[in-house]
Amino acid sequence: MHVLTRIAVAALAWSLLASAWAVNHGLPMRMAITQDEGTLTPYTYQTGYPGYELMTLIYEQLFLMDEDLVPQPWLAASLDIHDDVHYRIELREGVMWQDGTPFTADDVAFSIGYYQTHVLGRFTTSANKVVDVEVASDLEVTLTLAAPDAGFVQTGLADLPMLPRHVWEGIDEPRNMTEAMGTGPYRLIEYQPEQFYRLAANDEYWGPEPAFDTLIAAVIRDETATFQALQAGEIDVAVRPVPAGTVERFEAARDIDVQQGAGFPSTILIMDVTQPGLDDVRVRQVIASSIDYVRLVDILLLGYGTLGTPGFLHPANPFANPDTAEYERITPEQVAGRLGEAGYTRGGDGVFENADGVRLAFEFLAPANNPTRLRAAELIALDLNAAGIRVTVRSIENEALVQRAWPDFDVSQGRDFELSMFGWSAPVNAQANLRGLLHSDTTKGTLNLSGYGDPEVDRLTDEALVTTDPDARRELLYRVQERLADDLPLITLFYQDGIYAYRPAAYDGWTYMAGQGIIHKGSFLRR
Amino acid sequence: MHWYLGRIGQYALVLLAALSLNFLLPRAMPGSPLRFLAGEDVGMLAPAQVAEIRARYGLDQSLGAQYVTYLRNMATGQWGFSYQLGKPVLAAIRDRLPWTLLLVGSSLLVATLFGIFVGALAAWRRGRGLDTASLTGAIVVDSLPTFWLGMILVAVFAVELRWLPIYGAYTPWGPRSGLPYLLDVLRHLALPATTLTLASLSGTFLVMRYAMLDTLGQDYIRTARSKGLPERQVLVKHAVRNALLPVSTVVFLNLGFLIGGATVIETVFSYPGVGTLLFQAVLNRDYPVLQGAFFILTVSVILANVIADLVYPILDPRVRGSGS
Repeated sequence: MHVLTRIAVAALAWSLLASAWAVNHGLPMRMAITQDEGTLTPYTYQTGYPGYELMTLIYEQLFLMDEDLVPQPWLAASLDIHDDVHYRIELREGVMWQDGTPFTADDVAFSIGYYQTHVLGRFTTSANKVVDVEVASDLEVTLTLAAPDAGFVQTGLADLPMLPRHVWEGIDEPRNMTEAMGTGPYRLIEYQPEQFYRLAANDEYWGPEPAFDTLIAAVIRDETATFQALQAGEIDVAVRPVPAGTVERFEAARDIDVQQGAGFPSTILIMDVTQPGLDDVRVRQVIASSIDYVRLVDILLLGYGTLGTPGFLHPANPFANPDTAEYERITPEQVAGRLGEAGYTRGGDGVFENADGVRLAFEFLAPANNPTRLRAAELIALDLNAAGIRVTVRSIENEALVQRAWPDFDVSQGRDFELSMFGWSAPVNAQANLRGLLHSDTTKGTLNLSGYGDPEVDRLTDEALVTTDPDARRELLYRVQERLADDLPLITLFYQDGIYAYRPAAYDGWTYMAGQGIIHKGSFLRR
Repeated sequence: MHWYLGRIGQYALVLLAALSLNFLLPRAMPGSPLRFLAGEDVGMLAPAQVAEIRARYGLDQSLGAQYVTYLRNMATGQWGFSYQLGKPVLAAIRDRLPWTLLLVGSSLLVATLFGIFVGALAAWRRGRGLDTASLTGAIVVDSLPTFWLGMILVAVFAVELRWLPIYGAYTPWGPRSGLPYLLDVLRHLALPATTLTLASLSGTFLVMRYAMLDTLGQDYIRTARSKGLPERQVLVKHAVRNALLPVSTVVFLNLGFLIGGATVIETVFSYPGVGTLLFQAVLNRDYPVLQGAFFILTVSVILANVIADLVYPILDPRVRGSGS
């Protein structure tokens, strides 16, 4: 090689190393997120987790869910509820928007009106429960609900991010909103789509001191790359749960800590209970009793999970009925007996059928791009085929699966499946939304993908919605879970535990929020 | 002239067909963009509200009506807003294009030059150590899955040695101008570009090697040698120049895919190129982005072909005769 070339190469290598040192000196908190979250406004963030958590570092709610899922006053200082429908809210004094404008009751009234008129899945439904807003003074506002709603503090006050009226008043198309500005502990300094967000502490913040001067949320889509970056010290925390197979390696690593806790996102098996065969509750019970749940958790999650409960709610949920905590298990011999009572006998090929020619043979949809659910479907098919119920697993792309199980996200449009793998995100569990899951009225049971209907369940869930006394409400929800465990329009297979890894040298103030994990507002504030 | 007009007609037809496919294919995919128009919790909305959203984005119209609107919008340059990014499609693509050009362009350049050089050398030393080694190497690297290759490079150079960064195109909190920024960008480019170079190396190499072998067997090479020309001159002036013809076709074809990005590599390295934009648009059923991006892709592939058509007669005088 020419001497000059050698010198040039050496100089280049040296300056690359020097720039690496310069860049990595004086580090901010570096967090890996899973995908782009838009401009981090209530209308442009993308995912409930972690997008909503990131967005609410900027936009805040009147109440904040704490680590134990109890709503605590946040922008609100106090709340009095009269006649179950009048919510008189006293706002916290001295709260400023990040541009220095005071936050007032007018902003609260404006926000609720805005969510009502600008439709967005998560916020419009809760905002629409409010029929009247009365601003008494700058710091006092009364919301009146159309009907009592036991969950309104959690699903409304602790969920709706407040919008600054003076900014949003002129915004007609909120999906194209680019300016993120709220009352929160962090300001958005820079957003590079699909690359990263740079947030800085809001020095004027009214509440607890922000834990970081600078927070980088970098988009790393690939799971393996995320954890390689954590190992290499390029990020300090990942919002993504650690895959079961690598937990041990991280636990052994000296510079990485792992926190583990309950995870509320569920993995379930849904059935179209209007199909011949599946419309017989005895058949559904045999299906539920033939699945080896322990094996699913052991094989698919390497034990890092919680067995599904017949009552759907995670055992860590305060509303979970301890009496519906486990599925009954039966042997293949018992299967023959049970199905015999239901009028089914084994055909020549070993598959049960009845006198009307109904064969217990079903197609089982599973998402091709979710290996855990696909494998779960295959394991369940083994169990059911052994029991004489013929199950054919069909793997299809996830959006296609959703379109068949939940056409246009509107259960009134019916369904086109027999058995399908599915899952609900954490809020369905955290909010104990059994009414959404099971109500036969499609405007109320908006998540009722199975086409299930039971007058008693309708009555119980309607009553639970308006019962504000916690004990009475719990009692009603217990009874709904008992009905669900008997009728089984859906089978809850397991809950994947949340396992999160971070570099304690960078920050070790992460706290675990029940059902969700370490990424929630409390972790980003010094307390 | 006649020849060119015919070509232009052909390309216009291809373009129209591509435009129609770009409209139909995204809509033929099962699933809908609703989740991205109404938020993740679209299931909480009443059916009437869902219908309202569909109407606002024109998704309630018949496919025919949507097609007419689409053609009109494409023609007038109103490519619409991305469902997921909330910004104009053109702006979304423009943001990504420079990174893709940098990544794919640099890899293509290195892969082409290296492929030509090693290919020529291997053919010249046919059957010897260098030939066997490079041929085996090319076939092995070619058969490795790209993402796996990338992961291995990451494991070695980023996780173990910690020489190079794993994700992104530059350091979010680092310098944004001058030499330090340039060096930061180069450091971030190193691993993805190396992976992509390795992955695309074998194409040029193999074509070059076979073309060169073919050329070396020609009479004019024997003539050149018997004239007593130095071997180096025979190789460079007589053999390589002629062997480059088929290689140029490969290069032009590759150029067309330059702006399509390298989806797998961009995903593995979180590189903000057009590839990840497209991939995400497919997952999210982001029709406007799919239509816009595929249109630009189509045009660039066609353009690359046009350039190849125009340049080839210059490179190879033999074609000129048959063309006119």
